Amino acid sequence: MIELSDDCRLAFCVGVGGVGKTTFAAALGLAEALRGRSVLVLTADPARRLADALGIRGLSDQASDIPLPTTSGELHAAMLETKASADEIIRRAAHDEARAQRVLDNRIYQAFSNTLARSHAYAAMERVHEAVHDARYDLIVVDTPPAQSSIEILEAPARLVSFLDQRVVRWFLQASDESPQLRGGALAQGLLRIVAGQSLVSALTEFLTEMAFLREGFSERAKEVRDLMRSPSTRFVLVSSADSIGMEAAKSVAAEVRSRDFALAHVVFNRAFIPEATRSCADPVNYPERLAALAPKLERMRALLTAEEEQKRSNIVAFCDEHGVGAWSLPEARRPLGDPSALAAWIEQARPFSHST
Amino acid sequence: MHPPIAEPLTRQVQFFTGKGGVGKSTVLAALATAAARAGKRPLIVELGAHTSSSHLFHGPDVGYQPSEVAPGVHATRVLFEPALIDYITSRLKLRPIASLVAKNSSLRRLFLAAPGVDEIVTLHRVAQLAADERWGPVLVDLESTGHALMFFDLPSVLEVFLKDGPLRQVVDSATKLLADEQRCAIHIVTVPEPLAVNETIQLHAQLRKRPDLHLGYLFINRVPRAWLDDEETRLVKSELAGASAGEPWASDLALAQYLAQRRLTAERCMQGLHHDIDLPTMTFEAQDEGGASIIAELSGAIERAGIR
Repeated sequence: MIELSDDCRLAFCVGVGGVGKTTFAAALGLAEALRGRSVLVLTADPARRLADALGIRGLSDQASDIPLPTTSGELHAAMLETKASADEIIRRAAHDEARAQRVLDNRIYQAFSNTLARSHAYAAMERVHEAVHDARYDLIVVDTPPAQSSIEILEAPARLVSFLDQRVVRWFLQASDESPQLRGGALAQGLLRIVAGQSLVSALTEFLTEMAFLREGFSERAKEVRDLMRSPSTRFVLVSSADSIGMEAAKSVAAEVRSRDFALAHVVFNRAFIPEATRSCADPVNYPERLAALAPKLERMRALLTAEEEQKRSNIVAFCDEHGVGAWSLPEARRPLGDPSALAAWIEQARPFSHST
Repeated sequence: MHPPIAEPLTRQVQFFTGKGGVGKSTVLAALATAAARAGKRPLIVELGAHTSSSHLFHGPDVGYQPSEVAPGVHATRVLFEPALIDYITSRLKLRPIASLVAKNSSLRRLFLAAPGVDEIVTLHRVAQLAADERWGPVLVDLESTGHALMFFDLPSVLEVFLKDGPLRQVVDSATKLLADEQRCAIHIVTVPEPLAVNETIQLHAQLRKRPDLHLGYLFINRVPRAWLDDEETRLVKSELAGASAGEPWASDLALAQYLAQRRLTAERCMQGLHHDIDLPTMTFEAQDEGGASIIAELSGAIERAGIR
């Protein structure tokens, strides 16, 4: 059974798109809730898959309660809405409605807060931070958006800290001052004006000035988020498919997780087997006369699928040995999932793999 | 009189979008292979950290400079730093100075953290490749649906605060390219599975709201094989419920039933797609895992469809 250890307070599901990551995040959250914990599953995916997996109509930034067959644990789910989260961050940091409003009205802020992948990442990490400190939850399971932005999300705090480094911003903002150490800033601004245009540089300067009051709080918060990612109570779960293309992606995501010193707790290979195709090809079967016409087809089917499964199995074994990790394989989730018991039944079929070294 | 609208797959720039994991890169690779065989100079453009084409073609890692991954097929990856240097060079005209700007540690931090820079330099690079006469068609592999929408929305987002200046030119040329029905097409790739279909229908509806975007084909990838006919399906079902229950061959029948169910689900999904999406459609059958010839099979299917 795939389980997170009891001390785990935050779990990130990472991996490329289309591998069933959202379904898995939902199932993992559910399994932990059924063990009696109070769990929030948070999706940062702009596409609305978590609601589908949990069989509920829709999700919003506010957590919804998912009814469970038992009474011991709790399951909540929320979908990150970037704009709402970003606005909330500004309001909280500003401590002053008028000041907050000036930022919210800023055209750069408006243009970017709801549109770009990077804004999603900033806001997602903010939401994670808030949820971790919410006493209602014992565990937060985060479903990261697909592909590149999965790593993007992991980098968001570090980038924010770097960007908000007082010296860089001051250097940029005060470039018009006469002090010699700031002349580099004037040169940079001049170059930026050629590259990006006067109107953007003016807007950016205005934005940074407007944001000045936020810097202190942001920087502190971003450092906290960065520490949170490496906290001993945080785990990463890599979800992948087991075919050859999926293995390549899994290797590269695993390497990226490790290079950041994040704790890779589980590797899960989805759609790795079909429970019905467990029989070995080697066993000859004597079909009864009435199935004689069908027999060649049945044999071809079995041969093809067992070969496919065997290929996936050996891919997984090779991955485990290469990375010195254990893994789990899961069959394809049968539709419609749509309710907690179907999700729970799916994740219970997980088969363990261990590494030989 | 207007010239007749160009067949979408013959246009200079083609964007491919769809849910992650549906095999966009495979479809792209197959189209590129078919184009190369027809004597064209296809270029695959990958956005992002991972490259699929080097793996699909069993070739070396694809980098920023286009490299040949298969006979006549080139691929490139839009990487942030060289794309930034290219953009700055296009403004400053002097590459050494552009490199200095891109490598200045303070400006670099600003570029890396500021939202939008990544998207702008990507847009610039795509437009640059699209205008390069050495290549045609240029096949752009967009990330998953949400990000594709962001990508197409970017020009209008930037419009809000770019009255003039060099970025305005990037935005204008991207807008012009996207709106050009003779030069640009956006294709949607999907698989006949319920979650993917829901997302595809939503994506299509959102793209349709944009009269300036020109949709091309709907590619339905990995259509599961129809192993059994109706009569065989009924036989399997009745055997499993009766005479064959508990027999050694029952697991074979269970597998057959599972595959028949999967095919049925796929057929329903395809009906749903046809009902809601009025695009010309191409379907590709699921290929065996480990088959080295996925691209050859698909490109053969494209050639048989007679699109040049």
